[in-house]
Amino acid sequence: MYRSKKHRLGVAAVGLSAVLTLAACSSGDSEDTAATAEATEEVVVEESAAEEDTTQEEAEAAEETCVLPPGDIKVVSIDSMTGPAAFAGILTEEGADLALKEINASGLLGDGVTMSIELLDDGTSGDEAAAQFSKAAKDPDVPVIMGPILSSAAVVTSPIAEKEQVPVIYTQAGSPGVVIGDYTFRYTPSMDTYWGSVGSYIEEKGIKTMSVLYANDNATLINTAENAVPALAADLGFEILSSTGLPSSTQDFKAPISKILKEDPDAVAIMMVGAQNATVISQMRESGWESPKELLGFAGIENNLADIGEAAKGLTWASIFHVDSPSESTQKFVAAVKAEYGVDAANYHAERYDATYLVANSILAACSTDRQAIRDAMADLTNGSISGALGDVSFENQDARVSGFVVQWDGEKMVVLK
Amino acid sequence: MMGWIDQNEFLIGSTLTVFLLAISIQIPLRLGVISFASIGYYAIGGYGTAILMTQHGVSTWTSVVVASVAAAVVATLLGFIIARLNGLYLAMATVSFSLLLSAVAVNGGSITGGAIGIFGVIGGITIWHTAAIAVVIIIFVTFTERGKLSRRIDATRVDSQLASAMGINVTAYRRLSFPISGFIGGLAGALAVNLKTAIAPESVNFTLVVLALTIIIIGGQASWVGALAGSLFFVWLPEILVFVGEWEEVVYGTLVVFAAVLIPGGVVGLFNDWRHRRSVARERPKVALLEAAAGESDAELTQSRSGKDG
Amino acid sequence: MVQDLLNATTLASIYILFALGMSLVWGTIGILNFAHGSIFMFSAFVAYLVVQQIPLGMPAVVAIAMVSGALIAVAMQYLVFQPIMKKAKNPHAGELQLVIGGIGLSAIPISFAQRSTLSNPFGFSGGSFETQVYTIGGVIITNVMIIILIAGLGLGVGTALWIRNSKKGLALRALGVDPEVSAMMGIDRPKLALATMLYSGALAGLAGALLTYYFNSITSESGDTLLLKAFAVIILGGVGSIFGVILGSFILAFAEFGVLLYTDGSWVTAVSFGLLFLILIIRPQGILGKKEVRRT
Repeated sequence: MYRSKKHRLGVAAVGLSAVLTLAACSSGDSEDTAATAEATEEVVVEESAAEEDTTQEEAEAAEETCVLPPGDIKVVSIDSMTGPAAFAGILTEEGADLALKEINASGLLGDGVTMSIELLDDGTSGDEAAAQFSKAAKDPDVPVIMGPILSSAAVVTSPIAEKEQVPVIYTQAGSPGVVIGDYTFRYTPSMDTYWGSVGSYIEEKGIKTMSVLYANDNATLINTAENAVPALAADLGFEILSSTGLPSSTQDFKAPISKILKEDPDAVAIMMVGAQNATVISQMRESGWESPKELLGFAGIENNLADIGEAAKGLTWASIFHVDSPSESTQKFVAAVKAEYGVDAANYHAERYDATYLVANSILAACSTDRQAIRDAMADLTNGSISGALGDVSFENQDARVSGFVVQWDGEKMVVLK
Repeated sequence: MMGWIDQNEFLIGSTLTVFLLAISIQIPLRLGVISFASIGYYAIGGYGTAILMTQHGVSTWTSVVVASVAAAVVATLLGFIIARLNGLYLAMATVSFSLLLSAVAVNGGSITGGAIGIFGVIGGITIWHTAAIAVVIIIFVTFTERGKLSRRIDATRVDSQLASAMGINVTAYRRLSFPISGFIGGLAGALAVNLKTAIAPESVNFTLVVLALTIIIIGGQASWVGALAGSLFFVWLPEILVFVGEWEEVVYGTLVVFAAVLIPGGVVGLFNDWRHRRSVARERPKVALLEAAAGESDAELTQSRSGKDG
Repeated sequence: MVQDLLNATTLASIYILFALGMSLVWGTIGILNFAHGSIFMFSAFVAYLVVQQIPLGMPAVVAIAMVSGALIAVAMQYLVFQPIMKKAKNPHAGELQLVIGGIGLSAIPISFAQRSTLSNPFGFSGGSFETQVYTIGGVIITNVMIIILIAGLGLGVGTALWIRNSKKGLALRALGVDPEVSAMMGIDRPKLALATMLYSGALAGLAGALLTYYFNSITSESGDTLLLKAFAVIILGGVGSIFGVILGSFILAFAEFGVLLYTDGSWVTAVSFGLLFLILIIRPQGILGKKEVRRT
């Protein structure tokens, strides 16, 4: 199955749905950048050649001497194109499509060498993803797999990857137990590693006390609420008055809000799932929660605010991707997405775009479609920092790390504070 | 062939564990007990095995057996607690039992791993082991589908009062179905966690309840063949439905509705009906001859017999 | 404290709105409708699609949702439930087929809504309705809350009285006790069943629209969450008893509120299942239910 199919466009708002464990990031909203497609392609060729810091010479050396046999290199991608996680899966694959188009147009892999992705839809089912992954991992003709975005699927597929010794690169899938060994890589920084970037805002506003409301059945949000928030509190010296974990099936938040109002904190951190975020924020506002009281969110929450708009004004959080990000490589990517799909780039685009380039560059650096060689090259490349759509990304044990920046909801869209 | 099995190892393994789960629901169902507690047994078997293997260093097979027995013990207790319930009330009680266990899994802290669950459960169980276990269970179930025992079971389901009047100890039969169902359900969970190497609360939720029930109703309630047919159908459906792409769920829903409306006996019932009709058609000329020779009542007797044996 | 009581009562009204139609259908024509949550969600979804194009006010949105709900429910009854009931050899076998039919049916609208929204939350922000907040003696109440309270309590009590006192209500109750004998007494079962489904669907639509206003946005899967709670509500009060639905809704809403207020809240999902399990062990017919007469 060649990926020639164009996916549906014009996604106005993207939401975290229940039952998912995605490490969500941010998407942009402003409409200022514009660039031509040709310019972008040129730029990307340069970028991919000068991408790595530490392994630059090696990569260049490989590029000079490497001649891959002409033909198509087919990697497999398992993604959620239908079901509750489709909002993320569709954008993810758009990001991959764009990268693929650039890679093949620029002849990055050499004369007559192209790369394609066989896309398998897991229907947002962990079992389906695992079955497809197991099949692909056992097929010796598959050099690399782009893993499922569901955490629940990824914790099952990672041991298979290690057993079958096939390199797999994930985006999203923010749970522990995903990056577990030599063959597993992840290009989405997990939220607990950058949520604390909102600290500068907390200091600036003089926040001394905080209450936390989080979904207790979402791995990413649990990790952030139970680890990142207390760590930041210890660091900055503010007090956590209460931390309430509620199931993502909760629909009415009047009771926990009543409890929090009695504690009277300076700020409330909200980390719920999907429509819940809109309900919590509007019910907080109806209960009289106004400035100078603060509301803190998390990366991805902007996708749930469309229906409450003005009520969420002032909500602040740390994000890793924004269309207005000052990074040069991000701006080039944003322009390319705009030209290709006519929409503002989302974090899902960016992560998979970068991950697809990493796959291509690993094949190039390995100068082979051998799984082991590609894995070694990928480990080498992720040893340093890579600049791409997400800006500068570094890796810790094959797991991405990015320093976040502070963003705020202005009533209609999110804007960069710093 | 071997290559194909190797490639589809995960799907085959899933089919087998889902089949065991379906059998676990089917056993009480054949006695007229609509119990969804099997999801709870599945959770006990799965979590039990995962906890024993990863946190206590117990060997794989010991963990599987201990967890399955634990599920059987819990099932026995449950059988006593909800003894006076019937029909959909019993169904509801068992649904809440299963979902309560799922809430325990979410709130179990480091023991159950909370929402993330337990991963890295790597034992040496292959699909061949699982297949062998499934065969043993099939042999056991076949034994209950033959002869006198089978007729007693059917009588208990169809009319429990009549069955009592005929001297069948309905309560004892129903009560005995709980530990058996519990053990097989626990086994399904234990083997599934070994196949998937991970278990999380979301894998033992209401969706699984719905899936297991649908499998039995669509496949057929009366025989293990129905459970197997249903498991094959639903586990492989996504593979088969690749061509409908994004409309997979719609097709799934429509198929289930059609099955519920048109084939109350399930796929196996449909097959049996067809076989019955065909044999009736084949026997009809002979019957006509007999009819000519003998009286009408004799002919009817022959016809019904040939229908049953054919 | 008054604020908490008011909020819990609003939650109870929400449960009443959702469970009322389901209980009516189960207690009278014997269908445990697993697709009720889907009807609820899809009615709100249809209204959302319209509101995206035309900025309507609340009455129009509610009307659209109610009509959609009624139409979907009638279609389900006519195409699926009625044929199953006609075919069933005994009530017990029919019961399961109905449950499965409902499960299959519920997957279809959910899948359509997921495709259309890409599983994003949706709400009525395209409409002209604005939530107003009033403060009376320190207690905060919104116009949406007032409407939900009136609709939930009013329809709950109204339906209960109608079932108890009217001739049609008597016919419905008779159906619930013994379908065969009531048919002999001249009750047109299929017609009455269709009317009951229509009412139940309209109620689901009403609940869908009002809840979307109250929560500001819902998702394609929101109906399923409420479905499980409705089981608890109906069985707590007693199947077939409409006052039971009101009582069950209050018990569940106040229990959940209490757990959220006085504990860390992580066990709140267990409340509905725990109550359900307990009542079934202690008093299977529910608090206000009559002794089960139908089954062995």
